[in-house]
Amino acid sequence: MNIKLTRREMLEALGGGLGMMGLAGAFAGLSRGDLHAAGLGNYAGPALPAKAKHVIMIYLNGGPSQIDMFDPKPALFKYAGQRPSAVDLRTERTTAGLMPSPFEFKRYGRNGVEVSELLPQIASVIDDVCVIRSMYTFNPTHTPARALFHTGSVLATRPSTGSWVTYGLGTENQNLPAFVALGNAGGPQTRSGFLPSEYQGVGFPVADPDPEKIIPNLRNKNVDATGQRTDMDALLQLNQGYSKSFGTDQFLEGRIKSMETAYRMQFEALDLFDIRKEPQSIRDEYGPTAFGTGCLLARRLVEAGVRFVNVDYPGGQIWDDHRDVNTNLRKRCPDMDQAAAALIRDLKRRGMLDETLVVWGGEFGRTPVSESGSGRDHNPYGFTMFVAGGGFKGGIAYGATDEFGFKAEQNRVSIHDLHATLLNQLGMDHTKLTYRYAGRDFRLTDVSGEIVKDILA
Amino acid sequence: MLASVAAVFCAAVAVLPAQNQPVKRRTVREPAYSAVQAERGKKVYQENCVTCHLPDLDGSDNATAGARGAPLTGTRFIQDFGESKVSALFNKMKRDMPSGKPGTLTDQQYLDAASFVLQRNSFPAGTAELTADTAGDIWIPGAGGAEGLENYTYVSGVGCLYQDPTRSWLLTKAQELKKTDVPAAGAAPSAVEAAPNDGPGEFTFRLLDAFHYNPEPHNGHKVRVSGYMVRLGAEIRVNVQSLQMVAASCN
Repeated sequence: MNIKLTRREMLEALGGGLGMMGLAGAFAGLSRGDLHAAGLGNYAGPALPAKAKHVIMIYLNGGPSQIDMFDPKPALFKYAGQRPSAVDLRTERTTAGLMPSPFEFKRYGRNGVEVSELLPQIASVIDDVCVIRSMYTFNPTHTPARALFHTGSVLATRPSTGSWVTYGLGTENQNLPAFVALGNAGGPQTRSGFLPSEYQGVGFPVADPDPEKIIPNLRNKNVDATGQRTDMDALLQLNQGYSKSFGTDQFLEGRIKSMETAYRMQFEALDLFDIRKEPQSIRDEYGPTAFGTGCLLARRLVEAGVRFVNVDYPGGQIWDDHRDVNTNLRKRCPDMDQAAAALIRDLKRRGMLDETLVVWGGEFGRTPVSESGSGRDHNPYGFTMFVAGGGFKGGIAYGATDEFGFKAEQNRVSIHDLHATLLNQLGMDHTKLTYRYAGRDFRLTDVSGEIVKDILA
Repeated sequence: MLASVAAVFCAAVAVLPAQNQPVKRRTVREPAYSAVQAERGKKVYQENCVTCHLPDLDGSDNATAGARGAPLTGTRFIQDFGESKVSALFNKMKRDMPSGKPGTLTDQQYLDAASFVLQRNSFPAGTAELTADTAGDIWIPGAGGAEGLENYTYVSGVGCLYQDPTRSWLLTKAQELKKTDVPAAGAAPSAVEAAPNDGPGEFTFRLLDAFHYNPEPHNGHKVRVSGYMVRLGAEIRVNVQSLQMVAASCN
């Protein structure tokens, strides 16, 4: 008789889903292949050749201005203040005529990719960067567009990309969360939605690089490791009793697994989260800022086996430059530019860039037409993101917006296309990474998404 | 009847801005405050501002002594307030000053203090006083080079083409930019005239998109650049639309 068990049924058969906890220590140090064999990844589709093992997603909340950073449009000068019919697209707020970027663009790298003076450091690593100038999304408002960016849906219930990836691939380090969010503790960036709650992103603040501030009270100063283990085992017994009486509760299971992870983190995390252990030259390269701390920590985390790290630029929805866009970008870009470029440079130096996928962007871009005289409105029609490493081509600018930078025209890439391509690079067919909920199979890419093969190495 | 209609039409045409005429804006190079007002402002300054900004308005950065104020004269003042309206200075004072007790002075005192600052930056005094209304109409000029011209005006300038170590193209030793006509679509750039009056000037302009115009052979040459002027803070830049060599030397 051929008995086929689901993962959950198999775990329950081993003594209940909660019974896995006692085995946790045995998994430390196992390879990805071992872990897959142990069933900790749930992806059941065809095994595609994976180029990347980890993802670092740099998120610029609010919608950074592609016109001023990556998408030069000299034609804007000729039509400054005017509103030709070609750009008369609906905007979220009242907007006026075309507003040229005052920033200088230069050509960088072997293919002469144009990057503005705001990003000299990213420009210096452009040969490792794939600039996608033809991104578009489906909503002009922050909250739904942010959900689209992170979850592939405007709905506030869907799992984030990090949750899908860790659900599919599992973790490489049982002593750390598989999915970490730096500088943000909630929202669509970390949400597991209907996926089991163990795939929720774990948020850490990075405003202060002191690891005791990043993870307060991690070390139990009152009970030693043996005592804590005894406590945890007693709790496990109680929960097993609950499980036998009332059946498996996935929320309880997720909560217990989180506690177990927190217990194990005591032995590794404080050292790992202490960027002061890095050479001063490395810390200087990233810069003494919260975003620099986030990017440096992201590298340390993926190095230790964390699957997915989201790094938010601090300050909330700060890239939402409805006014004073030029002044604001000149203040905000230097530390972002420094840390993002340092991350790419550092990963490459360590031989990790090929297996680490760095994604940079916001929920949409900004209009070439002005708002409030000195700002730019939301632009879902066409904007720029970049990806680096993870088997993507470097030193290219893919796709194009129209003459004025308003709408993606050539080689358009939707957010679903990007998600599909990311999953492909992680070795997963985006149509096969599914989860059954409420009677149907859901996926990150909903019902669309095409792999953008032209940007793959 | 016909005559009166024609008169109205002509009057209407007369008030329309003539095409391609430089758009002038009012700046503090024309008197914007009175000497009496600046004298009142000096007293306000000495009572409320001098501890941090110092008697010569040089500013200080002595945090331990609790005195920290940005310079209110010279280059730094132009960096901070150049290409802003005087109202930006007034509003900044009203919103943040005096340090530790912002908004505690009257509007008149803030306007007087602003007048004193303008006077110390060598902008001329007149007879009319600076008011909250006029402050919103009058500009503090930037570093110079395009006096009175609005953003995105089509301009022309002659100077020395130079590529700096960061590969930026600059027009150095340039005269002030002059508004010129936008060439007709498809028209060849007009012939470069001998320019005896286009000798070395005092301005430097960063050139945007110069690389589209094959600038490398002309590095170090005297060139005429035409294009759209753009202000970035107090700095003036030119989005290049044409670039022509005037002489093979900048001397």
